[in-house]
Amino acid sequence: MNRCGRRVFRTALAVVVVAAGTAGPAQARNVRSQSRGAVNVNQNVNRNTNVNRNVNVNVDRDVHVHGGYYGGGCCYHDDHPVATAAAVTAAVMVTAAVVGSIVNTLPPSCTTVVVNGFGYQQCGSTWYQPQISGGSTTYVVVNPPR
Amino acid sequence: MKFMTGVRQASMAAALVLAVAGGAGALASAEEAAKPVIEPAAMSALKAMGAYLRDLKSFQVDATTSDEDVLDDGQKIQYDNVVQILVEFPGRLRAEVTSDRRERLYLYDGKTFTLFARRLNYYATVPMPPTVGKLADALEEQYGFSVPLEDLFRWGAPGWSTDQITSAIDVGASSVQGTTCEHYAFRQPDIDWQIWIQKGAHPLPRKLVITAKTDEARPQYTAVYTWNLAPSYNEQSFAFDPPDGAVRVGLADAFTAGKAGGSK
Repeated sequence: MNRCGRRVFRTALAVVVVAAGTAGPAQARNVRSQSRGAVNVNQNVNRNTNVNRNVNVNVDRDVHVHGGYYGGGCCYHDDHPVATAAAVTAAVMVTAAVVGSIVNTLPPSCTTVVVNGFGYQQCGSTWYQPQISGGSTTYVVVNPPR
Repeated sequence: MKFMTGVRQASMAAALVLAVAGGAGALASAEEAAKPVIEPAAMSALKAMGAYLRDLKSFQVDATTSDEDVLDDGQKIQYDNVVQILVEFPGRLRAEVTSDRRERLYLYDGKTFTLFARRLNYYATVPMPPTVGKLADALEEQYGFSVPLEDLFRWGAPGWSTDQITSAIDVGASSVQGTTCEHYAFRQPDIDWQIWIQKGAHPLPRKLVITAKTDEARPQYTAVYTWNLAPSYNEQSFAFDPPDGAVRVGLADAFTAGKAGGSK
């Protein structure tokens, strides 16, 4: 269940991934458009058809955060070994912590903190509020909630 | 040598003339063929399917779907999803979507909607209006995402229209996973789409293909549906029981999420 006891260093993981031949994603690629999943769409909705989503193929995945250690093949609740590669690249996705800004991935070493019934990720002095959607998970930089 | 060259040139010129003439002919017939045709049988089959769907009191659908991303250079990447959906009209829905990238559980009991991200153990709960149709509208308008297999709730529903369709043809009989269907193809602004409707007393959609025309790479969506019109379920099927350690988070609001400066 909780496989976080088996802590693996990121660099070591990268070697494992390459050696196993399940090479992870190397470069971020931009998605310029996507297929449309429904014939009948609400015409009142102003759809963003110009996607321009940065999909480092694996960064656009649900990656589990647990106990102050980010990714690294330790904390996935799924059985998709390919997903471990996300952790290798996630570490470089650190973004300036401007309140209100939104990131797709968290910096390393975050802790889950529940305040007033809602979960936050505290990463050093920066607090993020996770928000989920049908197709993505994002993190909004917020003022410390406590 | 010179003679041979002359013959070759002459025959090449002749071939060119033929090619041009043939090309012009092909062009003319292509133009004729491109004239939009709306076959009444295709339209009435679509409407009959919509009416049939809206008569159902409950259903369960297992679907495999695929969608495509187009990268900047036009390369297409295809992703597969498995969708399981259970609906009791007017106001209860349970849906699970599983892919390589994420898992989502959608639960709706006519009052609240919960989205659960299983791999993250995050969930979000918000109040919702009382019908599945209104749930579909609210998710789209306020939260920027769709109910899985959204079309199954739109066809034949109040406000549904076929006005956008510019071409409708009956392609013919076709078997989808062993079920005999009639295959129809439609065109409308932004998309071409095809649907396979089960023949007989239960005109259910069995397969759907949507081709987007807004990108020259034409990314395509495909869904194949397996139906159960007598599903078994109980109250618990639509209720959320947070697993150990599940953390409540926000439901992303697609239309304010991009604005900087908010505190939540």
